[in-house]
Amino acid sequence: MVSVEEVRHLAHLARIGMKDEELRLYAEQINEIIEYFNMLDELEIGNDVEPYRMSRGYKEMRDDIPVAFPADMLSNAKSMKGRFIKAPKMG
Amino acid sequence: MVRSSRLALNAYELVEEVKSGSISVEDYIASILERIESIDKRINAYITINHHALDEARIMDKMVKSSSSNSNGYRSTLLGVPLAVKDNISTEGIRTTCSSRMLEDYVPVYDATVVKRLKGAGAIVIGKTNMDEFGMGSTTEFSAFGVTHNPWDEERVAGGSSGGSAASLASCMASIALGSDTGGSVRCPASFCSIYGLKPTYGLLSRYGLISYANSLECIGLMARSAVDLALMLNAVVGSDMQNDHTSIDSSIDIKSINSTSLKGMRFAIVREIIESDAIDEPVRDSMLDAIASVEQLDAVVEEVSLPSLRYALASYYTIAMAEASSNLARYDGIRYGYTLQPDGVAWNEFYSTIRSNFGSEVKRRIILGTYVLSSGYYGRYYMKAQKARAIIRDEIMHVLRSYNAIITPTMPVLPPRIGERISDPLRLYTIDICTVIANLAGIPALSIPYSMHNGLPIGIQFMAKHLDEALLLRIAYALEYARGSRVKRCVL
Repeated sequence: MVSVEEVRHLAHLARIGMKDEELRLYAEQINEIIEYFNMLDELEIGNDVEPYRMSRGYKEMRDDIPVAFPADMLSNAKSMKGRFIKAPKMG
Repeated sequence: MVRSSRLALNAYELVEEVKSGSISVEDYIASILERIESIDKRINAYITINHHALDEARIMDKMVKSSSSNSNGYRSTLLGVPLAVKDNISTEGIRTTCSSRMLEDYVPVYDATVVKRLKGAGAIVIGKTNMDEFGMGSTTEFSAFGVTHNPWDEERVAGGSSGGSAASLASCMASIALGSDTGGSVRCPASFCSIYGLKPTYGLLSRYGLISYANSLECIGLMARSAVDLALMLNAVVGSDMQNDHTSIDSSIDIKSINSTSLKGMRFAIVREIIESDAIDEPVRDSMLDAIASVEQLDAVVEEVSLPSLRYALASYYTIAMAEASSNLARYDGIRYGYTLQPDGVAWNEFYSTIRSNFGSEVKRRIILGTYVLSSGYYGRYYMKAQKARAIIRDEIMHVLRSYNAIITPTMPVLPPRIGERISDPLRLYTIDICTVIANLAGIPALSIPYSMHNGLPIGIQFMAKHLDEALLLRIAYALEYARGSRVKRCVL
C-alpha cells in the first residue's frame, strides 16, 4: 500500500510539484495499478531466466573526437546572458 | 484545385498522376490545405501546419517539368505526396510539441532521419499531428491541445497515441503519415480509423529525432491507406543510420514480391488466450473469426496455439515503459528548451518542481509509478521481474513463430470508445493494449489491417511476424486488400 506521504516523496524525487488533492488522487490510482503489477509475483521464473536485454550489434563507432554543434542548437533557450544560459541558484 | 474525391487517392496513384503531369503538386497540396482549413476544426488532427508546404510543392512541380524535358525521368517514389508527422518526431523549423505544455513552443533545428528520408523521396510535410502527451495513452485524450475526433464517428476517440496521424489519413487531410509505437500507438489508431499501421521490427528504422519515451520498446511506425503505399514508405526510410546505433540493418522490400493474391503455403497461429478472453467485444471477435475464414479461403492454414504467459504481458509492459519514461523525462528542466520560468531569485528545487508540474496528468502518473518501480527496495520486485517476464513472453512468441509465419489477433479488443468514456480509469484504459504490447515486448513487426465495420465503426486485425519479416506482413495486407475489395473503406470524404 502506497500512502499519500510516499507519493509526496516520489513526487519530490521526480521533482514534480503537486497539490494535496493531486497527491490523494494519484495515491488511489497508483495503488490500484501497483496491485495489478503484483500479478508478476505469480509468474514462476526459473533461476536460469535472464532479464530481457537488447542485443547491440555495433557495426562501427565514430572516433571519440569533439564536434562543434550548430550555433542554432541553443535557439530554444530562453534565458541567455551573453554566451551563457541563466539557471537558478543551486542549494 | 483538384476534385475532392481525388484527395482519397493512394500515394502510389498520386505519384503516377504527378509524374504524368495530370495533377500538379501545388494544386494537390493546396486542396489538402483547404480541406484541413474546412474540417480540422471538428477533427483536431493537426497541432501545427507547415506554412512552407505550398512553396515546397511549387519547387517539386518545377523539378517534374525540368526532368520531363531530359531523358532522366524523376525517380522519387513519393513525389508530391502529402505527409502528416506525429508531433514527437523532430521537424526542422516546424514546432514539435509532443502534445505537451512542456514543449509548446519548441522548434527543432534538425529533421528526424525518417523525415529527412521521406522528404528525400519527394514527400511534403503538411503538418504535425495530435497525440497523447509524449505518447502516453491509447485515445489521444491526454493532449494539451484537445482530443482528436474519430472521422468515422466524431463522438468517439480516434485511438492513440498517434491519433492525429490516423485521423488525418481517414479524413483525407494527408496521404501517408508517421507515428510512433511503444505499446500499440500506431496500430491502435490505425484500427480505430480503418487504415494500415505498421510497427516495424525494433531497430529497422532510425529513432534519431524521435523524442524519447521508452527506448527499449518504441519504434517509429508507418501509416497509410494501402499496402503498396506502406511498402513505398518502408523502402524510403529503412537503412542504417550513424546517428542511431540501434539501427544496423540495411534491407528493402521487393514491391513485386508482395504483389500476390494468394496466401498458399502460409501457416498462421491464433492465440487461445485471446480468442477465449472476456475482454474481447463480440463484434471484434466476429470480425476476427471472419478474418480467419478469409485467410483460409486464400489457402492459408490457421491453427490454435497457447501463450500461457500472455496474462503477464501488460504488467511487464507498463512496468518497463513507466520506468523508462521516468528516466527519459528527467531531461525536462526548462533550462535549454521547453517551458520555463525566469530563474532569478528562484531556488533550484522549486524552479525544477514548478516547471515540471506542467506535465499532464497521465505523464505525471507514469513518472511517479516509474520512480516507484525503480526505487531502492522495489527494483528487484517490479522492474527486474518485469524484464524477466518480458524474456519469457518473447521466448514463447518466438517458439510459436518458429512453426508459423504469423500470429493473428484483433488489433484492439474493443470498438473505438466514446470520448471521455475511459479517461478517468487509467488501469481500465491500459487493458485495451493487451493485443498490441506483445510485439513491442518481443521487438517483432506487427501490422494492423483495416478489416471490417460494425455499425459504422472500424475494426482492424493484427498480424505479427518474425523479426525483419515486414515483407510477409505486407504480402498478407495486399492479399486481404484485394480479397476484401470495396467492402473496406479507408477514408471518409
